Amino acid sequence: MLENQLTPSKRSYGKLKLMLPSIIAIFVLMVGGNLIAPGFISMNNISSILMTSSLLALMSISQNTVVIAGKNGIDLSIGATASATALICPILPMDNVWQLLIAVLAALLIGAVFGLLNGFFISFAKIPALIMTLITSSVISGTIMVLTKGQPSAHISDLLKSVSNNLVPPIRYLTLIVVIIVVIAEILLTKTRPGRTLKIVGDNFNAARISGINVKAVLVLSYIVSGAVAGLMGLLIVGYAGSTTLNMATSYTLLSLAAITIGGTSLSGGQGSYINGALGAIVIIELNSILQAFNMDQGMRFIIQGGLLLVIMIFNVRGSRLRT
Amino acid sequence: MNLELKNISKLYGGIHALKNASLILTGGDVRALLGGNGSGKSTLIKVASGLVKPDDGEIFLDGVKVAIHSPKAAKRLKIVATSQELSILPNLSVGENITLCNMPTRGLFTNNNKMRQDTRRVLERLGLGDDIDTPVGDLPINKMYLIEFGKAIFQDFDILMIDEITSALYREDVEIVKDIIKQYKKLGKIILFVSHRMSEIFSICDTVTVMRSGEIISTVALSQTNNELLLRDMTGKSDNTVDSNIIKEFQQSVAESKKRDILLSVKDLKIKSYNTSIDLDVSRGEIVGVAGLQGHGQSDIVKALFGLSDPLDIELEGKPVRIDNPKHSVKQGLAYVSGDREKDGSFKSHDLSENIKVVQELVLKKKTNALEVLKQLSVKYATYKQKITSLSGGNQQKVILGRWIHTNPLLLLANDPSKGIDVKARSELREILWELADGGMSMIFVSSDENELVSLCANKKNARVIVLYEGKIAATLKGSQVTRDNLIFASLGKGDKNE
Amino acid sequence: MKPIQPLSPMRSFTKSTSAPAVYLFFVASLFVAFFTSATFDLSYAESFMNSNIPLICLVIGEGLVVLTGGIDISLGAILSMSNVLIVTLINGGMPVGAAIVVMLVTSIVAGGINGFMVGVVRINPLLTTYATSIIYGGIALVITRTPIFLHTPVLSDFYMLELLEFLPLNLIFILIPYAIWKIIKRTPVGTHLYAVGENESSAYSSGINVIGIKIFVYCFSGLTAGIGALAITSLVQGGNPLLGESMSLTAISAVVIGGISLAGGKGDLGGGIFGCMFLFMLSNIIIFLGVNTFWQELLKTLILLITVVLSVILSDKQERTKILKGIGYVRKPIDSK
Repeated sequence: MLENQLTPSKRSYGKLKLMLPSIIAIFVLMVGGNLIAPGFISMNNISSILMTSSLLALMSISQNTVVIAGKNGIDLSIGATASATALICPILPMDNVWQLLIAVLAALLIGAVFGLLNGFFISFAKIPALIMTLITSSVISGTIMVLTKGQPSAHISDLLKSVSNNLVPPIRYLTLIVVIIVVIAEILLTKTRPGRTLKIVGDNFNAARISGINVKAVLVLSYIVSGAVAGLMGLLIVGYAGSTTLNMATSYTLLSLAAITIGGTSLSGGQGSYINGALGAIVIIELNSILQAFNMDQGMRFIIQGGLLLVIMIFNVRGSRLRT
Repeated sequence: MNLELKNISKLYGGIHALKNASLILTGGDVRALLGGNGSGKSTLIKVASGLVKPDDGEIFLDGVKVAIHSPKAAKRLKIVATSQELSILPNLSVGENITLCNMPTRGLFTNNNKMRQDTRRVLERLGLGDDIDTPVGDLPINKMYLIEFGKAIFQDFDILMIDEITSALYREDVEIVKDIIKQYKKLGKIILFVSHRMSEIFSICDTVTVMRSGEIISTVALSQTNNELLLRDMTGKSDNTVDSNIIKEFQQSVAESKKRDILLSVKDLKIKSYNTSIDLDVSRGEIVGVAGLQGHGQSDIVKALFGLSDPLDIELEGKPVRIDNPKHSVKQGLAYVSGDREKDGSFKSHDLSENIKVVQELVLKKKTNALEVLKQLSVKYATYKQKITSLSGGNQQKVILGRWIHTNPLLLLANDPSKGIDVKARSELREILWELADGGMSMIFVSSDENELVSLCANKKNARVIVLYEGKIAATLKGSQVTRDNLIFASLGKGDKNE
Repeated sequence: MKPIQPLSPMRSFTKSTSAPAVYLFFVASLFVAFFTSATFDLSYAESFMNSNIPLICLVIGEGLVVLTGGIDISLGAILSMSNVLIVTLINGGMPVGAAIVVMLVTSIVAGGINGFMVGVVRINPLLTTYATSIIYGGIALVITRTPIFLHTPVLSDFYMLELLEFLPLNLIFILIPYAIWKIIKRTPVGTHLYAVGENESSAYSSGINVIGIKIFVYCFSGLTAGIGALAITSLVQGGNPLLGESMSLTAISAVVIGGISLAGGKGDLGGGIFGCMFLFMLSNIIIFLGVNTFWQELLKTLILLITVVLSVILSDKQERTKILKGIGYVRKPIDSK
């Protein structure tokens, strides 16, 4: 027994180790981006990058939650959920704070219901998450189409749009909101019982069950949370864009996977961090942004995006060797 | 023919799994490989069979240096090993599993007829009948291990390394394995045999190599040594308080009570694997050992009591209680520790502290001090932040035990918790359990090792052993009745053959 | 002499993993035959298969990858890329035969890159094929940003050929990959495939070349994507860089309905084919029902949900016995001693 007390610096060492690559990448990309396209480090650009990253960071919270919960958890329906609330919620009046709050609750509720659908089938009917959320994604899109007849709302309240306003450039309200959410989420994950339980269940489902944890409920809840946060994101993306369109958020689904992967979350569950996921989101958006600065056509951009993703994964996501 | 492993070293994150291990094996000599958990036995076998890449050292086959890059390469050199964790595939049939490493072909295609013939031949040798098409996953555990063994002997080998398969086998199965090994010995093959059971080692093998902490300590002929000497090499301690110090003071310290204080009473507990049921009473502070041949219903008892099976009605502290799931049991004051750490116990991505706190803090919602627990159980660790998998097997089990016992359960249900744990760690666990029983905790302790049950329960006022046979309690033994012979006799069912 | 019994995980048809998909397909077909306005004749079957063949090719490839425990969401992108590639080559003057070879080689290499990343570099298959789907989709867009037309009718003429007036020659696109699978299944490699899907480390310990098998299955799926591209080029007489986008995900659904477990080691490719045909028949049902376009999507996905759930539940032995017990049909417990 050599060490009973640990100094505070050592306690956070493990998490810091995982944050480091992302933080380094963020700054390297900043500098690199500016070299390639001067003006990259401008208030405007950084502000816009932060906005999109914030939206992706929210989606990363959703994705992280189900992945950390284990049993090959994944949520491919968050894009559809967000797109759904993006279409539906603007129907509600949002002219004052109270109405806005109700809209937020509605968004959370709608997302939670979709999450419940996922969670129920994945946890109780034992449908693999990959295929279930894939199908749910289509079900959600289909339902929304029927409900809205493909007509997005014309009018977006100014109050909602004000999330795009500047707080302190380059930080806008949306970014601040998301930062607060991410920090709260991280605290919930690491310091509270529900968060710690989530990680334990993801680590070893059977042992968690034996320890007396209601593992099925935990899985369902992880999808409910994922859906709710995605629902919120849908509302915020409308505020950011200033209007709603069909399938606004679908591209964020797979991007969230990339983001949490860069952030060090393993797809097999049991560990992960929301803050790191948010950092991973920034890295991805920066990459995207740099590529757009090159002004190359779409195809070339895709090739480089995919290639870079692959390279990042070579460093971050390798599985175990067959021969150790 | 000989195989020489020279100066093999392997580090896993700074810890020496193997340190300059050198070994020479010769044909016709059945070598036992003995050592506690973490001694390096499995790692050494894995290096020789291509599963682990050594950081240092060389391997020579008949004087010629060889490189073993993969299991396929090892097999090409005619080196075959069984795996402690079973390398058979549950969804594939018996025939496919046995012939997997060398499937008979006619041209490009699998020769099914020959496969069935070959499989039948192997099954005959193992006494396993004609069951070629059953998926291996449907078979009971002892047959699985026999199939693992069958898979190995089906291959054309010069060197066979058997890594701990006997602990899951019935007595008759072990005899079959023993005979087969003797046949190969006569053919001059090299055989390496790992087991924790001293009696097997003495009856099957010729020589023994002892390992400790990744190093080779000694190699002697079995005729020139005995249990004590071997134990001394295994533990590195000259004074052995392990098997000799069984009876302690506290058999006197448990007061003789006039009226039994019954903690738990259950009637009609269903034994799933046999469709039978038993009645069971456990008094406060009592240790109930459960013996019997593997798979005769012992683990069904503890699993059912913990809620891992169908809902169960019991009487706990005089009050009727219904156990539906583990959450109920935990809230009622039951605890469950199993020998299968990987599946049932360890949270590999979490540190020691979190592994201990799981039940008390997350489920029972009470604050706890993990460091205290680690200290009470004398767990050997460096920092509480380290991952549980970096500890030795015995210490891992202590951590898991600690997770449960500091919730102060009324009843501890132990399902073969010392499986694969070395003798020293086992005796430490025993001491802990005695102290707990003294303090009023009851326990039901299932074990596949008669010696362990004897060490735990013999000549104690607060202990008894029930012996299961085919889902029913064949005998209840107390005090001086608890001997190895009695247990074995009872486990064969009263008045059965095989004597 | 006793007949040779295959030892693989599919013994009798009723117990097989593919059965549910076959039943579903026939039920759906009967529905179309009797309850919709469609005339269920040979020409219907032909046009049904003609448009379905590309997807079936993908399903065969996807099924093999999933059998070994992996997954491939880039097949649609490989198909798109191969599609625009061959059109560009032929339009550019390359002889059809050579163009076909070049395209197939490209698709195999694309699959091989996936296999390399998954097997050698050991990146998670889902993430790998997500990244490569972006890359291959990008390559398709670089080749052509907009849909293009094939200048010669050679391919589509072939596609519509019939043997003996009723046997369509284009079935060859499915029969060749399926035949390859049938052959492989009868060799030790077939058993090795199932072993790898079930438990990689056990397979490795048994001396199986796990990496080789992984690279092979991804190359095979790339090949089927190439064959599918050939089919689709013939069908639409042109190339579209965005063609395959949703196909990968549909292929996975078909695979699951076909009884191939996403966890690997269980199932048969035949089931996937029927799963695919069922999904296609389902679309037809919805179209023929004359339902409002908005409801079409929703209805289709709801039925997809139900069938997948049923498929998964019924393939799990435990769940199946629970349900059977529940409805009163109880079997005697197997004596495992």
